[in-house]
Amino acid sequence: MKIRGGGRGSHFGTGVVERGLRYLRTGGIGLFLIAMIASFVFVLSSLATPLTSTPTPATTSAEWRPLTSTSPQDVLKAARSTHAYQEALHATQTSLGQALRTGILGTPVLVHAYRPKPGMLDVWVIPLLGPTGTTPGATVVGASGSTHVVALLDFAYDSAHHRIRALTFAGPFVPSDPEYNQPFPRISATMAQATVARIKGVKALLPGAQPQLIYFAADLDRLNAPNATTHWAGGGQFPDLAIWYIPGSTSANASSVLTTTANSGYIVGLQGTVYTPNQLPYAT
Amino acid sequence: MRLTVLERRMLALALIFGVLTLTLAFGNIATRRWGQTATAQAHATPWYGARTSWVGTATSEWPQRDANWCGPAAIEAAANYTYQLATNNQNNIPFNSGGQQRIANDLNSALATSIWGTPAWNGIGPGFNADIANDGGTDPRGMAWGIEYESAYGWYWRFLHNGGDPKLALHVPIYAFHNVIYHNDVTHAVGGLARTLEEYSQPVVVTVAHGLHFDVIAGVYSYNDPITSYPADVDAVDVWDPAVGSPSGGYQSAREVLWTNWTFNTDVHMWGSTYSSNSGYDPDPSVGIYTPNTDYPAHWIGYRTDFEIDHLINVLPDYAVDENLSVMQHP
Repeated sequence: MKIRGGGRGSHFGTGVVERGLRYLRTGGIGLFLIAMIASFVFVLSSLATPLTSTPTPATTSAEWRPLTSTSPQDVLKAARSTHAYQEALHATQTSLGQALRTGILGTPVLVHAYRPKPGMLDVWVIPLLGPTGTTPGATVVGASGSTHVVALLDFAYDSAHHRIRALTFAGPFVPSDPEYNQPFPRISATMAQATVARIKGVKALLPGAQPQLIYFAADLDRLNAPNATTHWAGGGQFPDLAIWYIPGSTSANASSVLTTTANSGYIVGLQGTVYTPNQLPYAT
Repeated sequence: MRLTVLERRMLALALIFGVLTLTLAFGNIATRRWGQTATAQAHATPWYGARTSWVGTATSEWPQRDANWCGPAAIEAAANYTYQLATNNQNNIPFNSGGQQRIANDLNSALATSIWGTPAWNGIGPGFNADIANDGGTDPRGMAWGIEYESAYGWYWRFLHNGGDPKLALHVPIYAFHNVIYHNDVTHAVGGLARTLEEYSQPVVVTVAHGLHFDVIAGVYSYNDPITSYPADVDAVDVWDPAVGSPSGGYQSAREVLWTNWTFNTDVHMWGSTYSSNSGYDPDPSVGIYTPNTDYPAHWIGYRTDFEIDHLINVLPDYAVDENLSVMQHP
């Protein structure tokens, strides 16, 4: 009995300790569980935030890039973010890649689609400036250290959705190219206006109307046919060969003329020749 | 001490949450890494094709010297490149000044005549003796023959045929050229073109502007491998136009223009259109096995076509192949 009594007394003391330890263990396991739940919630919440600020790569060449504004900086930023630009820039086997790596991008120029066909958009044309003489096959022209346009990068501009998409990259230019060793645009707006103003018989220009760089849908098949009877050197058939449209006095709204069939105004071609809008070789 | 039921359940729950946490965390890290890799790869989309500086040398006689000579000019570029490659020398080009005239002469020679002969003149064509259609210029059969004949491989074949010692010949791989007709959609056609550009790293002559014109493709950028991922997700196509700088002006603004693939595939002056008769200027064949009939009403018309290098060395350039590189026995 003593043993039992003594035992009971001893068992009682041990039981208290054991119970305390058990509570402690249970509490520890509970805290561990809480920590695991907290970790899970933390990781889950971190996944809900964007992974990265880098735009998700597009999977096709039809990718659009958002345009924050039409400032030169934002247009250049969007253009640089396109895959077409990046892949051309990093191509070691191509002359364009070399030109992009050694040149600098100039100020983007907006070229309007004149009398646009369905799907024809305005185009941002970005000149790539390179040191004189760096164009493969080019003759060194100009002062040492000067730059000139060695390529033109075209991006379709969806103004309604504030976005751009790469279209074509022309160049590096060779001597037989029409853009070779030429500025972009070929002539200035002031010169284009002055050219029109000098022509005898031209009606007064629309007050306040600004000349606009344009390109149009040309009938390239007709121009390129082996037996072609139409030879066109006025330019404007591509955004890279942009020409000037100068609203005439009969137009009520300069911008509306670009999207209608109005015949007012004048076109100043690449060589400084003045045309009426109906003289352009449009695609039918 | 044995664990109580409550403790066992709490430990099990903790273990489950731990595993879930680790899984999510690992997935997050992996996604970040893949995302970065995808961006990096997109910025370095591989180029498949020729060296453009060499193509620049191969086209040194451009623009085309006659309004009707886009064919000879395109042949000149493709042929020159085969010599550059064979000798690993950018400046080794047999066709420079006067090259297009020599090629035009060859296209009009008796040697150029197809095994089916040449059609009778119909007031528009044939433009060359090598044609099998009454084409106003060079037809696709004439192009295939011209590229092969003028190439280093053609020279090699003639050298051997004439009893030349192979040891004295250039170290020229034995290849052939054929007219490829893509009967499927433009994505597969561009994918096929890209496949050849990757395999041979040589420029490919293509028919553009619904059959009116020939351009040269120096290479493509592709998101994936054109050979193993046919049809590849091509991102851009590098097009060289022999007409730019000529009085006609060409179908693009400069000799070399990189077209985004979407633009190339939708522009009617590139591969946004298929071969057309063009008011009789580019008709289907009128002699030989490819002359359309009631069962097969068209050969080139309605499809896209180009001229690719291949291993079909026992097949004459008179024969066209389809998108599977199977020799066509009828239109």
